[in-house]
Amino acid sequence: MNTFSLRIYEADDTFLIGEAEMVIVPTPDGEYGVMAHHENMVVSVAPGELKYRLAGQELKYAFVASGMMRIEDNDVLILTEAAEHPEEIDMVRVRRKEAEAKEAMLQKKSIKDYYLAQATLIRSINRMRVKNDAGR
Amino acid sequence: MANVSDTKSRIVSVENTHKITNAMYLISSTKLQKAKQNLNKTRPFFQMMENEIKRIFQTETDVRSRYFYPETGRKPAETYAYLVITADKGLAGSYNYNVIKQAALEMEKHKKVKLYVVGEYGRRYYYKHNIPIEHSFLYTAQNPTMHRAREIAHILLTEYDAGRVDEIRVIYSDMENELNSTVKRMNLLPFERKPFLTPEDERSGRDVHYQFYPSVTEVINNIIPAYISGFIYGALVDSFSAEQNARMTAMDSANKNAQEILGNLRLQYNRVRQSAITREITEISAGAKAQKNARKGGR
Repeated sequence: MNTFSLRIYEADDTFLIGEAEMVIVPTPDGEYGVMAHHENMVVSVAPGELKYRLAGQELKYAFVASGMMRIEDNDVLILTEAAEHPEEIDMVRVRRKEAEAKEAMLQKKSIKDYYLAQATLIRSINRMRVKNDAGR
Repeated sequence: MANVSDTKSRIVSVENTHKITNAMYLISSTKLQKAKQNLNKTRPFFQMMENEIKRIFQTETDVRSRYFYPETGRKPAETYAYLVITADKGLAGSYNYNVIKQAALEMEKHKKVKLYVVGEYGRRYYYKHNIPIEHSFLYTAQNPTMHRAREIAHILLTEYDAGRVDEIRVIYSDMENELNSTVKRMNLLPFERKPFLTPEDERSGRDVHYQFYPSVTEVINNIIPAYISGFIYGALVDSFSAEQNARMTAMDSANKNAQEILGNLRLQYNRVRQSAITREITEISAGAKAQKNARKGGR
């Protein structure tokens, strides 16, 4: 199967560098899949579940926060604020965060707190999704 | 001349101070190591992000977004937001002073300024000098995390989106190398095209054409928050490294100074002790002589 080079960087670390057969990123309009020799493109990435298959391996999941993906001459670069492997996701912590975010949204202390809580909630829900999907 | 016990107690107190400065030196050096590692880890993301924004500018000349300066018909900005990064503590040589001085220089130029201060030292300074700052903005400079950077970015972006501030600038310290760090100013928002585009860039690389999904504006509006929080994280880590470095230098000179003072004090202590012994011997021998003479005379 044809492959392309895939690099994923998060703001405070390098997440993944390798040869991949396929990658599916979450975008504001749904999922967007990329295979080898895709046309040159820049795609907006929304917080959600990223799926990728490295050469000769099975499909893997990861959590990504918002960012972008650039495809150029069979080279795919994903830049995101945060990315996590399912095994790095601590369900206890995520659940607590989710509860906190929901609580904060109910209280609606201020618009700022509300949006922050909303963003945290979206990240928490997606982290849990990634964890569940990977465990299947 | 000071007496023996006075000198002795001064030696003990200098020794204790020396212990503290030495410990602070060691703590700073380990913190610096850690901060440096973090800095190196964030660099690739940051450089690539800058690169990508540059490329988007190259391919799409008429990007319209509230995050960019329009090419023509630019309105003069009214309110400037400054994010000033200081340390939590003093004892770091001129580190805090340099940042505050630079901030004061910059702020003089504008009529309306909103101050967002990171670090306890800076906050206290502005309180004391009755310079209004955003009070609810309470962030420490210790151990910067991505989470904190994201929150700060969020606060600044909310203000920007609501139109309460027109420009966002950051004043932070950049550690150039072990000996030097400089205070830098970065115009965070809105973006100017120029720093991203050098003349060679504009000529070369034009042939690569991208499709954008869902749209250019969507892509840009989505990556800007990530870029901003990434930049703020970088600035926090950079400043933290510079702070630790400044503290190391300050503590190193304090150590050297303490050693010098200790040397002088020990010398003085020995002299005082020696003269006291000499005096006692003189007194005893003089006393003995007098006794002897008295006994001789009595016979």
